[in-house]
Formats: sequence, C-alpha cells, structure tokens
Amino acid sequence: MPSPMTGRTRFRIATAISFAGLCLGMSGLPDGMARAGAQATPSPSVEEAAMVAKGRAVFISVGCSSCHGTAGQGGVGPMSGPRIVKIGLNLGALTYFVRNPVRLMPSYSESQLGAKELAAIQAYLDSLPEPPTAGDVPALRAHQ
Amino acid sequence: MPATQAKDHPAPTGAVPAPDMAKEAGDVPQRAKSIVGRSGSDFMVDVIKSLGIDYIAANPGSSFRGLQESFINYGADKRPQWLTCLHEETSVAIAHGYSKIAGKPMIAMVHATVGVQHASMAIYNAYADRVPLLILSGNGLDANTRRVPVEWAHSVQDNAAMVRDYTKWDDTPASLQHFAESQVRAMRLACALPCAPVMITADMDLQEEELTPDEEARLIVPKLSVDRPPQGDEGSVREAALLLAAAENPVIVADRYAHTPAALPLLVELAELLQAPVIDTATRMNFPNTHYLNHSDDRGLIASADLILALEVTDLWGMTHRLLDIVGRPWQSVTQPECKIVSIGTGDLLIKANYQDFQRYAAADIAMSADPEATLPILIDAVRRALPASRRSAITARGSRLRQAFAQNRREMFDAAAVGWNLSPIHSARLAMEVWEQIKGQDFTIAGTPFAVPGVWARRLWDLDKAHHHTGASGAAGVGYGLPAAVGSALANQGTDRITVNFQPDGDFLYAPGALWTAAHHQIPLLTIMHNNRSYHQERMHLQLMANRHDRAVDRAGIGTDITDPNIDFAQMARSMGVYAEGPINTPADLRAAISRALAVVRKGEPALLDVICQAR
Repeated sequence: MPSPMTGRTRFRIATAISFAGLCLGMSGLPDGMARAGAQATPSPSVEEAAMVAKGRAVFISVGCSSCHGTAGQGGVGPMSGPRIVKIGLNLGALTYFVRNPVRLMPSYSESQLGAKELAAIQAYLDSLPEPPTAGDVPALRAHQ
Repeated sequence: MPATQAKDHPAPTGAVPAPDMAKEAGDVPQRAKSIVGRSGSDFMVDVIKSLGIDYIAANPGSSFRGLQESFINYGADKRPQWLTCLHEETSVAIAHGYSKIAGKPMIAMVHATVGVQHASMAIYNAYADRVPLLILSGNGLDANTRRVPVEWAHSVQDNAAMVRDYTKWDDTPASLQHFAESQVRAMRLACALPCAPVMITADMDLQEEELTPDEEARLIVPKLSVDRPPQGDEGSVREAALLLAAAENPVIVADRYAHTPAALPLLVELAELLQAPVIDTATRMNFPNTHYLNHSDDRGLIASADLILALEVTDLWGMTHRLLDIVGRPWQSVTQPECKIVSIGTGDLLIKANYQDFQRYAAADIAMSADPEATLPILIDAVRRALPASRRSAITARGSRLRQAFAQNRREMFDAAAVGWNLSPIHSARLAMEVWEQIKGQDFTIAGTPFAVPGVWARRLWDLDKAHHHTGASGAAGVGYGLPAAVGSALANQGTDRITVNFQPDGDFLYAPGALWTAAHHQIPLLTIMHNNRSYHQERMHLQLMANRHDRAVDRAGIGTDITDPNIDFAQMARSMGVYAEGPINTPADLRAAISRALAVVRKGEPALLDVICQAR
C-alpha cells in the first residue's frame, strides 16, 4: 500500500533528518572563527555585517545561487537545487554536504570553498529573514 | 542572347535574331515575350488553396519569387495570408507554434540552400516534436537558366538533402501535375500520425514558365484524403485492460499523448475509472493540473508502481531509470522488478537512424504501435468490463489516498512559491502569480519554450484544464524556439478571446528577436514576459559542474555564458520593432502596474513585452 506522503515530501523529510543528524553530531564554529573572535576587533555588528556581505558575495560567485537562488529559496526546472534557507542548517552540516554531496550537487574542495568562505556563507544564510509561507501571501492564499 | 554569342554562333532557325549590342548600346534587348498571362506558380497556388492552409510564413527569397507573387496577387494574399519574417528559423518556428494550437499545419516558405540552412534547426525541433508542418522551397535545377552568380551559389541538386534526416518526406516535382499530387500527398503525410515536417521543392522554371489554357485544362488537383489514426488491436487492448484492472499501484504517464481537445476528458475518464495517478510530462497539455489524480511532480510513484501505462512516451527509459550526471554517469532502474509496462505510441512508426531523438531503448511488456488518443475509448471500455466488483473498494481507497497526497503536494508547492516572494532579482513564482492575478477568469495559452522558469511555475500554480492552456515542448530543445513559436501560437489564437502569454528566456530570445517585428507588423497580440537572468544559465551551470569536477575556479563559469557588460535592453529592442515594452523591472512591487499596462495593449490586439530581471532559477 503506497504511503500517503508524496515523493517530494519523503525527500524533504529525509534531507531534514540528515541535516538534523549532522547538526547534532557536528561541532560549532571552525577554529579560524574562534581565533578571530579572540582578537581585538571592531564591534560585532560591523564584523557580522562584513561577514554577511562576504558570504553573499561568495554564495553567488561560486555558483550556490545558480541552483539554490540568491536567498537559498530553491529553484525549479533542470539542474535546480532545493531550498536551503531556514531549514535548520548549521555550519557543520553545510560543510559536510558541500564536501560530500548527494544526487546532482557538485562537491566543492577546500581550495574552491575554504572554511572561512563556508563560515561566511553560513552567516549570510543565517542573516536572511524567515521567508513567508503561502498563508502570508494573499495571492497564494486565495488561490491555493 | 548576347551580341558576341550571336556573332560567333548564328541564332537557330526560328529564334529572334540578337541585336548588335555594341551598335545599339543603351537600347533594351528585345525580349521573346514581356507579359506572361498565367504561370505555373498560379496553379501551385490553386493546389495549396485546396488544402485549407491559412498562412505562409516566409523570409523573401528569389528562388520562390514566382510563388510569392502568385500568392500575393493571384491568390489575393488570402488563405493563405503571407507573413513577413526576418529569418527562416522564425518562419518555421512560427509554423511549429501555430500547429500546436490550430491542430493543423501552415506553410513555411524558405529560399533554396541558404534558406534551408537557416531553417534547419527549427525543422529539427518540429520533427522531434512530431508536429505537422509544410515546408515549401524554390530551387534552380536547370543550369541553363540560372542567373550568375548568385543563383548558382543558391542552387542545389538535392535541396532537401540537408534536412532529410528530420523530415518525414520530400519531393522535387518535375511538372505541374507532379507538383499537384506531391503537394497534396505532402499535406496528407504531414498530418498522418506520427505527424512531422514534409518538404516540397518547387523548381523556379516550373514556377515561372507560362501556363497556357490548354496545359491548364489538363491539370487535376487531387482530392486530399486524411489518414485515420492507428488504433490499438483488440487483443492487446484486452490484455492491457486486464493488467490495469488487477494492478494495485498503477501509474499513467502521458507524454506526447494529446493532439486534439478530446484527449483530456478521455484521460480523465480512464484515470478516474482506475483511480490511477497521472504523471503529465507537459510535452503536451495532457491532464488538468487541478485534478486530484495529477501527480506529475511525484516521480516516486514510478518506483512503487506495479503497472505503468505509457501514453506516447518518447523517453520510456528515462522515465524508468535514473542516470546521474556525475563522473562515470552511473544509471540504475527505478522500477520494481515485477512492474509491468504497457506502452501505446506511434514512435516506432517514424524513426530514423542519424539523429538520436528516439531516446534510449526500453522494453515494454505490451507495446502497441498505435495512437493512444484513438485507442483510449476502446481501452476504457475494456477496463470497465475487466474491473470486477471485488476491486471496487481497493480502487476507492486508492483514490482517497491520492486525493490526500494531491492536497498536501499542492500546499507544499504553494509554500515553495512563497519562499522567494519578495526577492530582487524577482522570483519566478512571484512573476507567474502576478500575471495570473490579472488574467485569471479569462481564457489563455502559455506559449513558447517550456523551459522558461516562470512558465514552469505557471504550469504548477495556474489552473490548467483545457487543451490550449499550454503548448508543451519544443521537440529537440533547440534554443531560439520560444519567441517565434509563441508568435505562431498567438497567431492561431486570433479570433478567440484567449490571452497568449510567453515567458521568454533572454538567451532564447536573442536568436531570432525579429519575430517580435513580425508580431507587430501583422498585429498579433502576444504578452511576452522576459525571464531575464542575464545568462545562458543552463550552460553556466554545466560549466560550474565541470569546474567543480576539475577542482578549478568555479567563479569563472560566467565566461562564455553570461549576457552582461553590457546588459541588453530588451525593452528598447522591442520598442525599436514597434512593440510596446517596459523594463528592466527589478522590483516585484512594480510588476502589477506594468503587467496591467502591457495587458491593455495586448487586449487591443497588439504585442507587448516586459523585461523582468529574475532569479536564475
């Protein structure tokens, strides 16, 4: 008897479980970030803003936005990637998936996307606001 | 005859003596005859008018000057009406898009050699998409009458040779009677399933030579007879019905299935009888997206199916296997070992060796070489007879589960559309829904290329339940199809109250932008909304993949793929061709008013374009 869940739902649950498992298993920030935090720096908000800006720039320049969109919203059509914004992704999980991708996701080596760049991307994704749902958008809510 | 030739070679008996051009320099040479009452091309027009062709799309060429003049004067430019195109690729793609809505062919007229060369990609698209299309070309076969030098460069022994791999049939008639029979046969073959382009080459001399009343009296225009579609044989249909009735998890896959408006209700009837999910590949408008049995996004159903009914599925292997584009290109079957496949399609009735559009070989347990649309009525009857009462509750329960899954999938789809709602560059789902907000409740067609991302969202989020709601695929994915095909579909929609919407990728647009001028010149109402991601984005991602694979600089993938620096002003380009246009539009809040203004233009009967800067995907 087939499950009532759609294939898309099954994929999303499996991905979320994978990410959640990695989030629980992985440590927090890499050493580079800890070292930076120990030094005397400008106010955190300025540093964070710079990190977010760098993260967005890297996210676009190395092609993450090509498949996942500029805000990690995901895409449709050939060679598009799933949503990665506000799904509980942490730096450990992000790093793991980038180095050990599944399905059509290409892998990024340390030279292509180093730890600092990944941390910046994580900061960028974390900075994004919670996206709306269909219930928040009148045109979608009315038509659903 | 030149004077020097006359001096060295006396004129044959009965011929008009050549003047001494040196002596009478400046005088016009005496012609044998200045006025020809009727010519062969007039008769050719008579033949074509007998076929009910409404339009000819053409970029002018001297190899068919006889035919063109006959069409526009003798034929009064009516049925068929002449459409001026700025490239032969446009002419053919307009005819392709037209056939998707009109359900019948029109003519694309192309100049010999170089015109055929220009047209070739569009002809391949039409062939791969299996649509009816008539190509008419001129040619100067007789070396004795060719003008030097251009007619020599533009003449060929076998005009159709370069497109024969992707046309169904072609001929170069040697006489007017031959032309009549071949042109009528061409119409019949183009429309006989599986449909495809056919080509007739009308020799220039045949076009231009005088047609005397005596000669004309002997000519006969044969009657057109149309082949009825092949239907599945009774035994195979009965066998398939038994399998369908007994299946626990049947799945119906509809690919190039629908070719008339009757197709949708037939498939709905079969799906509801079985409470079977339908995967509509969107190659045609096969099944309403509002129906709870539409599960086109859930390819996981293939993996759990115990029976797959494939209706004109071109790529059955791709449907039942997964090949990953990673090193080694590994592939595997995704179906259960015991899954049975019933295939009904006409693919094996027209297959050629060179171009590989026939896709990878896949076996079926029952393979019917037949038109599924013509076969479905008898299959439905057979399934009805084969379904025992004992299966009723299981089938009803299956339907309930599918209804729940459909509702959940729809919620997820609408939530996914919301995620990028306020982004700049503009999210394609936002763009699609802003258009929907202003055309919902009206009749419409989504035309052009199926790959435009806003169009993908539109096919998910809009209510699509009529045969003309979208025009499906381009055939061979030859880029440049979208804009002219949309013009062709809009042409076929003239006289209805349908709004033709073309979500237009920027890269695809740039191959044949002159199609916009054709739309303006002939007042063909079409709403073109650019999906402008300033890139040949698919190819950019291919390059990223290669850079990833080689552990090299991914950030250089824009070399050879990005369309920036400078950014192209599509609105200005459109306005230069007489098309109302606005843009670039970067902010989602600006969409509503711009779409409203553009729609006002389209409703007046003219084309309009909005250049929208979009997310890449």
